[in-house]
Amino acid sequence: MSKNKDQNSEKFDRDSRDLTNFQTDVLQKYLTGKADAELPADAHSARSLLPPGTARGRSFASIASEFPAYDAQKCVACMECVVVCPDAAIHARVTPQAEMDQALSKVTDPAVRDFAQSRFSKTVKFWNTYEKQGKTPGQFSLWIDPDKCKGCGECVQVCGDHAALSMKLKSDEEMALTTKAVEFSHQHLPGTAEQYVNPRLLTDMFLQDEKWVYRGGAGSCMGCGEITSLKLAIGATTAKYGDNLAIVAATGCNSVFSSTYPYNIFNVPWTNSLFENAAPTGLGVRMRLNQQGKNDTKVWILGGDGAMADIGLQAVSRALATGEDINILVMDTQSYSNTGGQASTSTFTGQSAKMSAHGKASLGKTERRKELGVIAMMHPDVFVAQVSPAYPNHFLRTVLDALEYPGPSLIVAYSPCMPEHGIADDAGAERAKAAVISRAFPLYVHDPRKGNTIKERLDLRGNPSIGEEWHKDPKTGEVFDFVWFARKEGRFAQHFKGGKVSESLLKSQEDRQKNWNLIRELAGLK
Amino acid sequence: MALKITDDCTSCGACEPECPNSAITAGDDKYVINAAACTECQGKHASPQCQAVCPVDAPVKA
Repeated sequence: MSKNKDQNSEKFDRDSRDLTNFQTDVLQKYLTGKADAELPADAHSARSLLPPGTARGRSFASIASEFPAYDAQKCVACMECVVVCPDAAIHARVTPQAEMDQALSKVTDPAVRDFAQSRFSKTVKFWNTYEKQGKTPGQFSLWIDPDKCKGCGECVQVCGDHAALSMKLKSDEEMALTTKAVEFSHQHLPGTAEQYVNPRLLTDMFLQDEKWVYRGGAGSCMGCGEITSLKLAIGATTAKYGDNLAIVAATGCNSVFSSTYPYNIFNVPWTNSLFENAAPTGLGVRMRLNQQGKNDTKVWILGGDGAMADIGLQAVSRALATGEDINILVMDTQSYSNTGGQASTSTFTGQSAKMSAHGKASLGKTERRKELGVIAMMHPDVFVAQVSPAYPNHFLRTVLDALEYPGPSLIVAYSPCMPEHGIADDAGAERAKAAVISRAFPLYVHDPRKGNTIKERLDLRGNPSIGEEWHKDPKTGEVFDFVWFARKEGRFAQHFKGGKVSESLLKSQEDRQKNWNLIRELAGLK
Repeated sequence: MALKITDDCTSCGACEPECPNSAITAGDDKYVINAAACTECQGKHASPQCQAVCPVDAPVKA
């Protein structure tokens, strides 16, 4: 190579890494829709470089006609809406009265001040209980960002009978006020003090939104369960350890919605390699961090069931066998969601998937579902768990335990996928709960620190009626079996033709029953 | 030997999956503990798990 070429290549390297003017030179053109017309092919894109957090300026305000209206007086501060919002559009704060008054006094526009004030309330949780315990009570407030909200309505769904949230048609006037109120919360309202973050009720860690590294702007579908799982795992990590983490994403929905040029949803180091390569790449990142003496830096390796249970299974197995301190999150959608919903080995028996639809000519997927968690558990000294975003306290506690475990961990998170499961945009949490109740996806935690036998290490807490094959409604006696679960999802619709349940679906139910019994047997409960 | 949930309950639902005996269910205006199934977590945990997680101190001795 000539000296001249060397110098050119060095200059190119230097220029393409110079992201100082990315905001003005690149991002603004995309945000205003002028990139195609005005930008030359740029070097950042060619080098796959993205500055951190560029998705924060992205707006989804124009994609939905409805927006959640909030009635603070009905709110109980349960934090469910904050936790499940796939777009991190909702944040909440708890503020002592004096600090709230002081913050509001800084707002000059009376309309904005009144609107902002209406977001506060004295809840039993943060007012009455704190008063009763002789501590300084706090006003709870909730803020929803019109630029981040995609209008899925899942917050309204989880709010349920509390009815503090409801979907309303947007008006320009109200959206302008809402935007200004959100700005007020960021500019003037102090962050939630430690005293209001109950260490036992882990969902409350989301009260400190300044610790979030994902703040919306992802290109995920409305209501996406994958990004909800991702948000919970990364949110727990940064709440406990700050932003001292590195993320390696397997190719799939998560890599696409996190890093569609020029939008990067993270402000921590993030990389993506080949579909099957996330685990070894993460392992390499771990080794390099250790070489640099950064043993405290947490490493998350993210992927779907296709990347982790199918195409990258060998690579995952190899990484787990090293005993290195890595954490793998499998966002299990039971299909190859990103490429249009082909069947994976995690797909349920009978589930209609691309190229394996259930019908007269072909029964579709007749194999039993492969259980990645059970396979991972049989590796020596690996922390393994199944979690569901509908059980956030269990989910967050499991993530913290996995991070604390000084070896490899693999967490399989049930992740509803609206288009591939055939469910409504607001149904994620409800379906993720039904999956657990019906034994479609039991919760468990296998912690090698708990003992020498599998039954000592395996904890099934969180599942209802652990002693029974199926959970029943205590009042009506209705059986919540797998058929009950499948009835509400489009991916199983073919099994209910003519008012009958198909043989294939009953086989699928048998598979789920066998899996539940296997897990109970391993836990010493059968 | 059982706990009960007082009217302070805000129906946040945090306690339900914590119970090792599946004794807690959503009632009409608050969550309720099935006294026949509640063991106050003895033999399983150092303290009752619903009390540990409840943000409003609603579960108390029956």
